[in-house]
Amino acid sequence: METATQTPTTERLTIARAMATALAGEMRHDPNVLVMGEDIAALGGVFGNTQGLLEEFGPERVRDTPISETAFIGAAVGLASVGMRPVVELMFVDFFGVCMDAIYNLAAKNSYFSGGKMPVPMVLMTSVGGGYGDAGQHSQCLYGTFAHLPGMKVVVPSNAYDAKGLMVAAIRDQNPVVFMYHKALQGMGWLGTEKGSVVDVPNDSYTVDIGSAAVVRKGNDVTLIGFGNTLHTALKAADRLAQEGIDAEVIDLRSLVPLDRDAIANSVTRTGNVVVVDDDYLSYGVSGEVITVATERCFKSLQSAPARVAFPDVPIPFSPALERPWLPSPEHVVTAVRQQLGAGE
Amino acid sequence: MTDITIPDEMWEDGQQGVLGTWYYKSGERVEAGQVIGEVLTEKVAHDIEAPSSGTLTLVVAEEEALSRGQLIARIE
Repeated sequence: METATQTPTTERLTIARAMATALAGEMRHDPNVLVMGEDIAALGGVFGNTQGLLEEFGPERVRDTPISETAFIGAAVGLASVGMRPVVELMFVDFFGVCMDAIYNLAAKNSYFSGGKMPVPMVLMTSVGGGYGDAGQHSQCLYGTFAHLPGMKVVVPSNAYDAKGLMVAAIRDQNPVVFMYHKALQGMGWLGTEKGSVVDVPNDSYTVDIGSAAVVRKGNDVTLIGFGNTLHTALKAADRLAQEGIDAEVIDLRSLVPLDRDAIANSVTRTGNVVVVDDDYLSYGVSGEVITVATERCFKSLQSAPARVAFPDVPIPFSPALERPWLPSPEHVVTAVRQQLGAGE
Repeated sequence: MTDITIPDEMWEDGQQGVLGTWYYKSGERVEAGQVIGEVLTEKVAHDIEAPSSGTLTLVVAEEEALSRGQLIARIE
């Protein structure tokens, strides 16, 4: 039945659309915001996150660049240093090697070097993650690589609501922000789409605080910690654990830098058990940092050794038969929790 | 009631296609112009927009094969 036409206040969006919506909103709001990168204009982004921007804002503010990350990410640092708010796309995070000097030696440090006189308010958005047979140079996450280096904020949304709010917050932030979006959550059909990432998003502008985690499921027996795609892995594991009578709490970190250490500590203090799920490499990464927080802050509350599920320390294989079993899965998480709680097997 | 079918212009002769993703479930309300799902042909993804406002009924499930002109959903 037809009802009177009224503008809906929310719309169900994929992360890709939520990012494009956030970018368009900020470009309307602030003439200093511009977008640059490979295939972000005419194509609307290989992962769909800049759709419609060229049509609305034109080629001055939405620029397709040559395939030289060194040039255009360097240019973004310069633009940000003189008062613009560039959003640049590094199409795959795996390509950071050629442009890292601009990122970690210039963007991340110039505010400190200038005594705060020359902030670098740029957003570096970049796709992460595998699971679709794209091999060792197109499937990495590298969260830990970027989160390790001081001077940059790092965010990883797990759903469209957070993606929009974090993007708006990132563009308005005076610091460089690395916005890492997971390919499996983008809503691009050819990559598969994680259903839980497609949610209702307010049409109005809003921000999600960078540095605040979210408790997305309350529980008392164990804390599962994920972010981006692994948040959904953790949620599926929690569903299975519930069938076994294990009541898991699930935390979405949302932001890796700053890390919401209080949220981790508050939960682990209560549950006494923690499993971190990370699709980046196992060693020297986010999982180790989160477990360190749990150990430092909750030592006397821990009832078991903190555990982690992450990608093994080898380059990611092309072969799906080799890649899939190594990617964190709900089964891996359930097994880790069972071992931790001494439940069964 | 409005039928949603695979538009002819989306389809080339002999092309294979599949229903990629529904963003809404049967029984949910959608507004005209909202993107409600995605159809995949070869490696190209096409948005499916709601042609009118109302309650959605899905006819074709995700991952089902599609053909030109096929009814995939209704809005009433």
